[in-house]
Formats: sequence, C-alpha cells, structure tokens
Amino acid sequence: MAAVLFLLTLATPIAVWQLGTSDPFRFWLNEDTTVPLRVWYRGVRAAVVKENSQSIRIRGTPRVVLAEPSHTQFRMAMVLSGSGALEGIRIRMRTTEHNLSTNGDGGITLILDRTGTRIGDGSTLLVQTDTIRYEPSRSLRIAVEHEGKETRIAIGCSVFGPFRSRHPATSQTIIEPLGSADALVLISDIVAEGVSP
Amino acid sequence: MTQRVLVLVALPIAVLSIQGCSTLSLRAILTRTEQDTYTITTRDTTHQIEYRNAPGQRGIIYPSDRTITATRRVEQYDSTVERHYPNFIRFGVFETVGLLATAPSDRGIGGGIFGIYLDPNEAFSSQIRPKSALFTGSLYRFGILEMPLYWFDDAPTWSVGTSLGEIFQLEADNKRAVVGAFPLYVRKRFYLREEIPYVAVTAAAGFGFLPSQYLNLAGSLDIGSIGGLNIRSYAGLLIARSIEQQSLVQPYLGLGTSVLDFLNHPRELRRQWDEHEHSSWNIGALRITTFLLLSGSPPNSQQPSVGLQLQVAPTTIALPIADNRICAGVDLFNVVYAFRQKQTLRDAIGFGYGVLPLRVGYWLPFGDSRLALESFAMYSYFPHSMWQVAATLRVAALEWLPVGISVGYISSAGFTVNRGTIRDVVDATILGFDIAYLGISIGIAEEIFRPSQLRYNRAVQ
Repeated sequence: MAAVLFLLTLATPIAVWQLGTSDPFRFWLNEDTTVPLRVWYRGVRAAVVKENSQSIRIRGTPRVVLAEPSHTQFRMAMVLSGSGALEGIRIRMRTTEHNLSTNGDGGITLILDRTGTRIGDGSTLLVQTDTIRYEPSRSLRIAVEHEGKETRIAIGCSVFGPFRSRHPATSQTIIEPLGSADALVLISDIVAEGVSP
Repeated sequence: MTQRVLVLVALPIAVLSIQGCSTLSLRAILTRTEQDTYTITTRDTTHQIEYRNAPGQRGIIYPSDRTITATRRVEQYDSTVERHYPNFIRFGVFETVGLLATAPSDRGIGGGIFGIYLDPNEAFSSQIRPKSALFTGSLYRFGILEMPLYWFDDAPTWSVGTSLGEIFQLEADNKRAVVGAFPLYVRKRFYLREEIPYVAVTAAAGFGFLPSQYLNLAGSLDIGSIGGLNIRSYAGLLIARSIEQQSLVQPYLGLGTSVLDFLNHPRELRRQWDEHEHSSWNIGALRITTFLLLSGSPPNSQQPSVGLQLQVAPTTIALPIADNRICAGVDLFNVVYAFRQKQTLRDAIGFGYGVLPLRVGYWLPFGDSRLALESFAMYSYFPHSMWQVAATLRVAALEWLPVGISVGYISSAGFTVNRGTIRDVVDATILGFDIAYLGISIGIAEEIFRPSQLRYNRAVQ
C-alpha cells in the first residue's frame, strides 16, 4: 500500500504536466509517413475529430490549422464533403493563424460555397466562377501547391493559377467551415508532400 | 515519526526536483512556445546587353553584333518566428491561510488572521504550545501549479494542479496535522469579475497520498492576483488520516493570502508574455541589502558597522494615482540585522523582523527604462514595531538580478525571544535600534517593470 501511495505521489506532477496544457495542438495526421501533418485549433476540443490517419471531421465553424512543420513549399490534397448545414468552406494559404488573428493577414483565400468559387489574394480577386460550387454530400477534391512565390489550386478537374503572391510561403493551411454551428464537414484523404526542402 | 515524515516528503520532492531541473526547466513548464515558419522568395532577372561592333566603317545599315544575357535568380530564405505564451492557470510560491474552528479555542497555534503571525518563540518551529486563539489552525502551501484542464466537453475554467507540499496544522498539537506532498487538485473557477484583480468563486477537490492520505473539498472566494498577491476566504471539509495515523473529519473556514502567486484568466493563455499586463513596479523572490551604518551603531559594536536586510517576496504595486507613481507594497518577511555588540556574558544584536510589513512610496521611473528611484516608508507591526524610510535607486542591470543603492533610516522597538528557532539562530540578546544607513541591494529573481509595461499605460483588450 505504501508503495502504491508513493507511486501516486510521484505520478501526480507528471499527470498534471501531461493533462494540463494550453497548447492548441491536438493531434497528428499521416503520422506514419515522412510528411506528418500537425492539426491544431482553439476552442472546443470535440469540434474536430480525427476519423483516421488521413481524415478529420469538423463540427461547427472552428478555425482548424493543418501544419506541415518541416515544409513551407508543399503540395497538399484533400477530399471535401459536407452536410446540408454547411454553406461552404474557406481555405487560407500563405498566412498563419497568428498573422490572421492579430494582423488580419488572410493570405491567399479560397472560398468554395453554394454560389461558386472565389480565389483572392488580400483584397484582390484572382478567380471567380459559379460552375464549381459546394453541394451537400457531393465530394470535391481540392489540391494546392506552393512553390516559391507561386501557388496553384486545383478543384476537381479545374486548375487555377499559378498565382504569384507577395505573401511568403508558410507551413500552415487554415480551414474554416462556413455555416451554422450544426455544420459538419468531412475532410478525407489528406495527403501532403514537400516540393522543395 | 517526524523523521519518517520528513523523508517521505523530501524524497519525492528531491527526485522530481532533480528530474525537473535536468529535463524541464521551470521556464519550460510555465511557458508554451508557438512557432511559425515562413519561406520568403525573391526573384530577380538581370539582362546584360553587350554590343560588339566590328571595327572599321561598315555603313549605316550594317548589323551590329549584340549579345543579351538574361540571368534569372531565385533566392529563398526561411524565417522562423517564435512566440511565448503562459502555459499555466496559476503559479504560486507560497500561500498561507488562517483556519477557524479547527480545534477547541484553547488549543490553537495562534497564527492569526492569515495563519502566519506566529509567536517569535515558535516561528519556524515544530514545537508549538497550545494557546487561546480565534484562528486555531493554519494551512500552508508551497510551489503551487495549476494547468488548464479540458474535459466535460471543454467546459471552461477547469484546472488540474498540484503543489510541492501542503500542510494542514489544525491545532498546536501535531497529532492532527495533515501533510501532503504533491497533492492532486482539480479546481473549477466561476469568475465574478473578469478584470484584474479577478474575483472568482473556486470549487476544489484535492487528494493527498503521502505522508497523509486525505480528501480536501473546499470552496473559496478569491481576489487576485495583483502583483502576485491574493486574498482568499475558504470553507472546506478535510477527511484525512493525519501524519500520526489519526482519522479525522474536519470542516473548516479560513482566510488566507499568498505571495508570488500568479493567476491567468484562460483568455490570457493566448496573450504573449510580452503583451501581458502588469500591475506592479517590481516583484521579486528575495532582495538582499547590505548596508553601512551611518549612525546608530553602539560604541562597542563590532567593526566595521555593517548590517543586512533581507526582504522575502518584495512586491511593489503601482496605484493609478499621480501617473502610477504612488505605490504600495508588502513583503512576506522583512529581516534586519543592524549590528552585533560584544558584551561580557552574552552578545547582543540589533535585530528585527516583520511579517507582511506594509509599504507605501513614490516610484520615479527614468523614461521608459528599468531605472527608477523608489522612496518609501515601511511599517512592520508584527511581531514587534519596526519602521523604515528609505530611498533606493534601482536598475535592472542583469535579467532577474536588479541592483540598487539606498540610503535610509530604520527604527526597531526590539522584542524578546526565549526559545525556538529564532532564538537558536540569533543566539544573542536582541536589542531595539535606530540606525541610518547607506546600502547596496541586489534582487534575486526580481523583475523591475518599465512604465510602458504597466496595464494602466496599455490599451490591451
């Protein structure tokens, strides 16, 4: 009994250290590959669920960051599908969550909603089309590539870009579902690879 | 028994302290670092045009030989930005609580309202005589750490924490003393005021495993922190086996204070350290002042007449008056050793100490630097009367080690100790004194804040 109590005493500070944290980091995707993705977000923990090593399910409209810690120039692809309460999705590239929240630097923004697709760089509209739009339950493959100053974006079979941007390449891709708190989005088959070291 | 308890308490502290110092510095525990990586690409194209005209007259329409060399260059460089945030809800060095109704009123330890105003004959001693007191017991906590806890669907303001140790001294006798090393605490705060100083109602459940086994259920009304100072009123129930294996169920009420005890609202965990609001001109763990007596040295005192002042946990809070220059402060302890006097039978010393002495003053910063002139008057009311007026020029020459030069006057009424730890350490007759001094001070783990760091001078939302 004394030994158990002794171990409990020793375990307490370790448990406090492990249980308690203010770190917004939540989990890894593709953790068994050479390009693991770090997923983090602030707010309600249950808002983002790791479905499997390549998929996440997002409920509500949290700001979720996929970060590829070792690369800033990379290709990333994902398959998006959502519920009826989801109005669309906004993906921000070439910025960081901190830059966005403190400096309002939105980087390159892809908005895919029920009215169509818009790609912008700051206040500059780069692409607008109403032929590619978000529809509930319909899957759309989105791929992005950042290399140097250029970014290419592919949605389904359509390729947009390359767009030359003044924004530096960053390791983060920020995903923001649009809609109500009931919105549900499944992002699956998330893969990434480095373009240059 | 006491030795066994000490060993049990000391062993885990030692093990974890060694491990903690070697692998995780305190800064790493208290600070969270976020890192952003950028790659900046610049492209440059240089056109070099070279004309090589053939010699001689070739006519007007003769083609000139021109070579254009276009050199494209892509330059990329990475930029890494680190940001540092607090990683804790609460970090405190020392908390002391005076407990009511924990024993018959004639068996109290007499620690007073905050449980720390102990008889000088019994201070720092385990031999406490029962005495008639309103605050019959005391609760002490050392090295408190609380981290945010995300559970119950991320319900806010939960925390999980521990401390290096806590002691429930319910009465003068040690039979009912309850001691815990690294107790596990889960707390939930309900904020009544969400601005500094925070006001919160806190519910807590704590489990101690060694050397006493106990469950402590407590509710408290907390005010603070401001400059690391807090006031808390407690109501709780302690179910325990004491260090002498006596079972007890003890409800209690208490009033406490704590020093170097910092509380972060959950929203502050997202604010970088550099942007944090400060309410104090300075906070420190220890300040040592060695001084040369200008007057007041007795004729047969040892030469040279040098003295020493120790201030434990000195804190100076800026008041929003007169450009924040009016300040008030408190130390946990203030110890003054003025002189030693050779006498025939037994030496005598000019010695005084104060518990939670109060200080008011005027803080004059020089620009937005960490150089300031503090003039203050300090009054110590327990265990004896002692007051001090001084002016100190302080400068943060090294990080966490500010130095200062001071001139002042201290007057102590003196007091008597016949036994106990202070008597053993001092080992001389204690005299009152009135001295003027010129001193040099150094702060240990002390921070001096710039005017721009004060929250009154910031517009942080």
